[in-house]
Amino acid sequence: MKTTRSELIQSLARDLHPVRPPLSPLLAAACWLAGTWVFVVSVTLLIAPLRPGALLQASTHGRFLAESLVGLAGSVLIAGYVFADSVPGFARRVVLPVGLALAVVWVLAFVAGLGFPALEPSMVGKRAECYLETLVYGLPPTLAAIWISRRYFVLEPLRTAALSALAAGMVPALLMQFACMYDPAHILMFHILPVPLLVAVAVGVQWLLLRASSSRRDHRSSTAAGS
Amino acid sequence: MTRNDEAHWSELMQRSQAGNAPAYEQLLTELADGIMAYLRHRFGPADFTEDCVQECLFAIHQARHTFMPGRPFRPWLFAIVRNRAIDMLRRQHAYTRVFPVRLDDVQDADLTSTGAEEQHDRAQRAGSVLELLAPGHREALRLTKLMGYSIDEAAGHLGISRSAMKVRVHRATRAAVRVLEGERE
Repeated sequence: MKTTRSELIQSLARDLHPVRPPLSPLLAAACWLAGTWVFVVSVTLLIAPLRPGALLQASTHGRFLAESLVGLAGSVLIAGYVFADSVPGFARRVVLPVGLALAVVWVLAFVAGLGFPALEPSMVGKRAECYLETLVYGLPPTLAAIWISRRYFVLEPLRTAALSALAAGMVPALLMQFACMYDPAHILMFHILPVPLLVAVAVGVQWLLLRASSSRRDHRSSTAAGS
Repeated sequence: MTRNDEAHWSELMQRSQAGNAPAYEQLLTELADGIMAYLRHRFGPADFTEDCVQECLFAIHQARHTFMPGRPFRPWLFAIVRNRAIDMLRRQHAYTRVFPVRLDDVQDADLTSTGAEEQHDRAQRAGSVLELLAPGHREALRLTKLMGYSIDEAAGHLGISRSAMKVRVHRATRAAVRVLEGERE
């Protein structure tokens, strides 16, 4: 028999318990970003140092610095949107397209760099498994973002998972511009290409979590109906 | 929804967050009426509106910890309501009869548009999602989502193929979603 509206309201009121409003989502985003950078930088440097002269190149080659800053800005905006969007009605809609546009510009900078690179391409600083490093270092922050956002109330879980992975994956990819060799073709193939793969993994994980929640809810409903 | 309503519901929600059950019951009862009015305004007397109201109430219950005192209540509430309405619209199946009307009884004139400008003015005044859609999309949603006819029946009535009907319903749903999402800003 279908539940009436008043029955539902009474049931929800019986289920009521005090709740505390969560941490501001923007503060959560800032903490997550800081934690992600600390984590990625730490593990990257544990494996191997930065490319010799990379930091000097950032101060002497404006376009190289600009590439990095555009990518960083995109990652920050996307991360901010992920957490803001976890609270219904909180996020400003304009933030996501701007963040995504910056990410696209960042990628296109390397496409343009195939013909006109910001730095002289070189094998100096090449890391043996940079592709795997980008993927593996991006995974824990992705899962952390998914976990944190679920503490709020995510209206579009699959989109949130995808954007979490995008923001998280851009961090090791950005760092690799300083930690690995500089060659736009190499960057596109081995630093940036793992990011869509990370997005696919995140969406898969979120989908499995949604299915598990749905099964638990169906089981509870059928148990309640039978008792 | 007036500013007084917003302040009133915000205050009730804060009391509910503290565990005040009577305040919570009052809040949900008042919100339910407001949500029903909003859904009827947007979709008309569709069969799924009461189910949608209940889904919204449940979502509000699950999301109540995310409401931040001091922030506006309306954007928080309607982000949830729009999300649930869009979800229900996408999930609507074709076999629930909304009106006791046979397909043959539906006059073609009911489904065609009047002058485009007059239509748009009426739609703006009425605020109905359906009225704001293109005639082809409006027909598709009315037949399949509101009047409960199957894809095959609706395709037969419109004289198009089954696959063309499915595409039209999909595009119409997306157009309706865009109208609802356009309310956010």
